[in-house]
Amino acid sequence: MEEHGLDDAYRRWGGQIYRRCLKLLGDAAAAEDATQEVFVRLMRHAERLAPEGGYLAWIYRVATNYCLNALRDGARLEVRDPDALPDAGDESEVGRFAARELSAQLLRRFDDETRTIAVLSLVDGMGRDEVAEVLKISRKTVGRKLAHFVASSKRYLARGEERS
Amino acid sequence: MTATQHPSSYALDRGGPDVDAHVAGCAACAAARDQAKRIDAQFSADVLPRTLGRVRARIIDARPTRRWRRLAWIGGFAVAATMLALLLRPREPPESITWDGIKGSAAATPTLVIFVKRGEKVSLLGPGEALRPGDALRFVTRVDRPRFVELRARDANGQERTLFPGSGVAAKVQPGDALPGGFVVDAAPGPERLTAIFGDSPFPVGRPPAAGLQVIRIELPKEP
Repeated sequence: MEEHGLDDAYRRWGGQIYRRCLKLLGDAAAAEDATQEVFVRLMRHAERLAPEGGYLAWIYRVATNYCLNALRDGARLEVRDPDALPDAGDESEVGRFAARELSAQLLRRFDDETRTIAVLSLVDGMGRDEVAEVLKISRKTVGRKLAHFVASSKRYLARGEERS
Repeated sequence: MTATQHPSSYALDRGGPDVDAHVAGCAACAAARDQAKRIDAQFSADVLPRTLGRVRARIIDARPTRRWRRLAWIGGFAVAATMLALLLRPREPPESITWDGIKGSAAATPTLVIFVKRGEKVSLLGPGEALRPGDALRFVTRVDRPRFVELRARDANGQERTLFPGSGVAAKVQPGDALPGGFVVDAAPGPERLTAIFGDSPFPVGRPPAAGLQVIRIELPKEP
């Protein structure tokens, strides 16, 4: 890729990546660092991506995972009131809760795919079809892992409540 | 998407008629999209100027190894590429179709060379070789001078979509450039049909080729 092509790509996709990282990390400096890292990875993988739609899904998948690792590595312990966790069946309530309360401590308890499914579903409000599209997995897997995340999180937070 | 259900942030980013229609009548989603635009503007005005040099350095520093590997890869297949160019010539050439490579020299007319990644193996697409679902294709231009190019794929219904560049006008390529991107062959029945359009000056993509542009149409058989 010529330099001007690289610059154009950074102009075109950098803002998208930065926005994604800022949303998850909540810190401009951290988002700036993460954006550079994710963009470099994007350029290394660009030739394998479908030009239409492939970049956006890739950005959601890789930027989310990168940021969750950053959150996990800089984690603070947060144990929340288990009663505040809504039922798994009420995804809109789960989403509002998750947007506020997803903690690094909690994220450590799940594999990369499960936690990414949780964030895409609960924080971003993506439907199962969308999550399946971004992660290139089946809708059934999304549902199963999301249910596992919610149930395990509730149990974990309940135990935290008992310890406190 | 129902009237009461907001599109996700992913759907807002992706856009589309349904999403745009929803945003037009939804204050919350309109605000979310405005917020996204503000952050994008902040990135362009502040973050990008400060970080572009670092990003460029990281990518360009890593380039020599990849470039040499790519050149070796392309050079190793030069003879086969010449044969492929001949064999991929359509039996009934469309208007202004042009091919080169007959003598293996740089010619005034452009050619498209196709490489296929199947599993971990990368090879030149062989003469008459059928594609398989899951094959990843990449394209290398053979031009004697910098040209502007658009590459399109046509589906079984005859609908064309631009593979390269992403939007706007045809992109400039140098001799031997591999086009960024490519595509993965799906399981839909029927051959894969590609159209490459070359010009000496920028031209808008996604439109019928104007006079003076060179058009190459390729039909690649696919295993059922």
